[in-house]
Amino acid sequence: MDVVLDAVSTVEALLCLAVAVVLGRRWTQQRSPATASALGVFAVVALVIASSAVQPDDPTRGWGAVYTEVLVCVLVTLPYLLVRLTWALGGVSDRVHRAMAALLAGEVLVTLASPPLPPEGAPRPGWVLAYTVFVLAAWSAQSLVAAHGLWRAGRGESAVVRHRMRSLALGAVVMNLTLVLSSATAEASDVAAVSIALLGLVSIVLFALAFLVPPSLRLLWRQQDLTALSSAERGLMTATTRADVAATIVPVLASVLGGGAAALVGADGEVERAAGLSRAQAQALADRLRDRPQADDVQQVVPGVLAAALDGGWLVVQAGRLAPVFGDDEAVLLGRVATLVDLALQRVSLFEQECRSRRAAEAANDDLETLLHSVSHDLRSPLISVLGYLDVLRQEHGAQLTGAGPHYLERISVNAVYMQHLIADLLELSRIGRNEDPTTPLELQQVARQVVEAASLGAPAASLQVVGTLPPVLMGDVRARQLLTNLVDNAITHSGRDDVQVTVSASDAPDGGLLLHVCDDGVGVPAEYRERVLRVFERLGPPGSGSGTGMGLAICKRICEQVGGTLTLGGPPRGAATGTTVTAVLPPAVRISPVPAQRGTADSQELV
Amino acid sequence: MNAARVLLAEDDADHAFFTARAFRDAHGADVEMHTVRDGAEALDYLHQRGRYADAPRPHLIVLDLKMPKVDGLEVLAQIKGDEELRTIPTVVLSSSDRPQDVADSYDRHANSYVTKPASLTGLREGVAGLAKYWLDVATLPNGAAS
Repeated sequence: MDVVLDAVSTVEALLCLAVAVVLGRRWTQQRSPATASALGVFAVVALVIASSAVQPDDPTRGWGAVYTEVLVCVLVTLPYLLVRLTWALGGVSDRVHRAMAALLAGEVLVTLASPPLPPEGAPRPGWVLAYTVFVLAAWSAQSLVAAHGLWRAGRGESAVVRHRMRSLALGAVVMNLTLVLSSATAEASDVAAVSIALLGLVSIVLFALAFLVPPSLRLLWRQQDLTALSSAERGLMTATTRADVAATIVPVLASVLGGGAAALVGADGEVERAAGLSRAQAQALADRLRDRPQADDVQQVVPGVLAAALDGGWLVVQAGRLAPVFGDDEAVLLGRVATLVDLALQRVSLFEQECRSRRAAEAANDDLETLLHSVSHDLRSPLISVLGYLDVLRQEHGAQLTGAGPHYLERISVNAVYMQHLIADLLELSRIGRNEDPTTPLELQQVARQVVEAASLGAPAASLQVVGTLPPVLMGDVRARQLLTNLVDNAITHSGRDDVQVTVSASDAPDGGLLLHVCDDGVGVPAEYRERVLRVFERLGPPGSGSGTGMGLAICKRICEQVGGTLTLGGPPRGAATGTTVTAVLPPAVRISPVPAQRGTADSQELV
Repeated sequence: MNAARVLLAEDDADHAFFTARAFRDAHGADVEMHTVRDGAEALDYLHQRGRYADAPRPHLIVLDLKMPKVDGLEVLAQIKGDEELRTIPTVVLSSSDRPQDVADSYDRHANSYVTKPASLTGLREGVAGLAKYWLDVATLPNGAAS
């Protein structure tokens, strides 16, 4: 029986010692009333447990009576120390704290003034009962005030701190229960004695838990905060501006770290975002940080305010009131968040840089197009005059030219006309994409038929046809017509023979888009030149040789790109020995009735 | 019958030459072309100032937009803001096809806007159309033309 009781008190003593060591170490780092009170609680419990070793044989007589009185005086400070801890953490008001201190003074005075207790077995006078009831009542009052205050002070704090506060509150209640039960059952059975001893142990464990949280329990308690944090962390990954990053993390940080206030301060000391702080308060904090060297770990700026250095700036948090006691948790959490914020800010900075370069590139491109447009436009005017005077010269003075004269005049004319076509094409190229309305449904079948009919007039020997059905598309009429006309004309012009066969057809693209094919069985384009002929000014024949200005395919490619597609050049169509297949690859967006994308086409072909 | 008088305001001497020639080709001898080189000259002509003190009132004005000193839009605005002049049909003949230029011209009550064709043949056909419509088909104030 005694063995069990001894074991229980040994465990209690060890636990108290461990917690006292932890608190002692914290006390050396930071002296605060809260740490002192907590240290006092455990010192008292440890002292009381240890005192049993020097317990006199008769606690009612001689030095034994003095021992008992001193022990009681020490013991009654315990609930008061709990109240004091609660007060230091802001859980009870100054007035309540003073009342409880007065109650303690009363207990000590009454204890010292009362005569020694009668020995065991002797009849107990009435005052003994009154004294016992007074002490128990005072203890209970203090314990309950402390428990209530601790519980309340934990509200709104981070989950770990909240649970720690509740653990302390429960410990106070259980310890009070233990005392009341042990007083009520002075002549208790063994079972009752062991039960009471175990209850005492529970209260000690609850107290200890508040200060020495096992990692697994800490993780469990923190779950709720971690959920809020990880959702904010996901937000950080998608933030695209510094303001986004700040808006995502600052309010969450303020609530998770318990103090209700947080701010993000930029490298220049400017407050970028504050939560729970007025602009002026936040700026005052930022000013304090301005000249502070940036260190790796979380620093305390002023009591209760923690700051984590970022790559440029600071993450500042008003820690909870309990930070002096439970500050490590908050510092670790803040450090972790600061790392993530740093990453997010780096990403944002890269993203912004990328946006800037893209805007610059777009602006340069726009400038170039404007230049191209105005230059080609201005070139047109003198050329009209050149052609005009050539005309006049030929009509009015042609007869006076002799020898090679008429030939030279002809060459001037051919070149001037060629230059006019070049300028017209350049102008067209620069126009694609300018002021083009979003498109209305267009009957592509009808457009293709008209294009083929028109082209047939210029190439009577060629066989031109539209094969199958072309679906309606969302494209500008002018551009679609220009695309098909250029492709068909190109096929005829470059075929190298008069009886070329040209077909226009359509098929579904694997991504749900549309493929427009213009195929010919002409001489074809050697594979090594296919990429090149799509560029501006690239031709396979010399200038003026009737092979065009070299811009037809570039214009077609530009039209396709304008709607989000592209243009590709391939080899002979199926069944032909020579020839070219030009394909306009148009995205799903141009289709009116969407065609589902064919998923895993390559795989299914492999299976077949 | 009096010859139809056309005031052509065009800073490019070559274009003025071809435009005037095209008018004559289309309308024959009974068209009288008066050419000025900039907007200020056009206004002097219309208000009969300086060396244009005796200039006859035109039946049709053909106006380029891009001109030195006073540009075509300003000239147009002044013509259409003047009680005396605003009844003279004024056609803008410009190489610009910018929608803004077109809108600005009609805002200032141009009677029509013609984009200068990019080739001489086109120019000749365009001017022939203009001459045919304004000098033959349409009835002009002050008993001009047909």
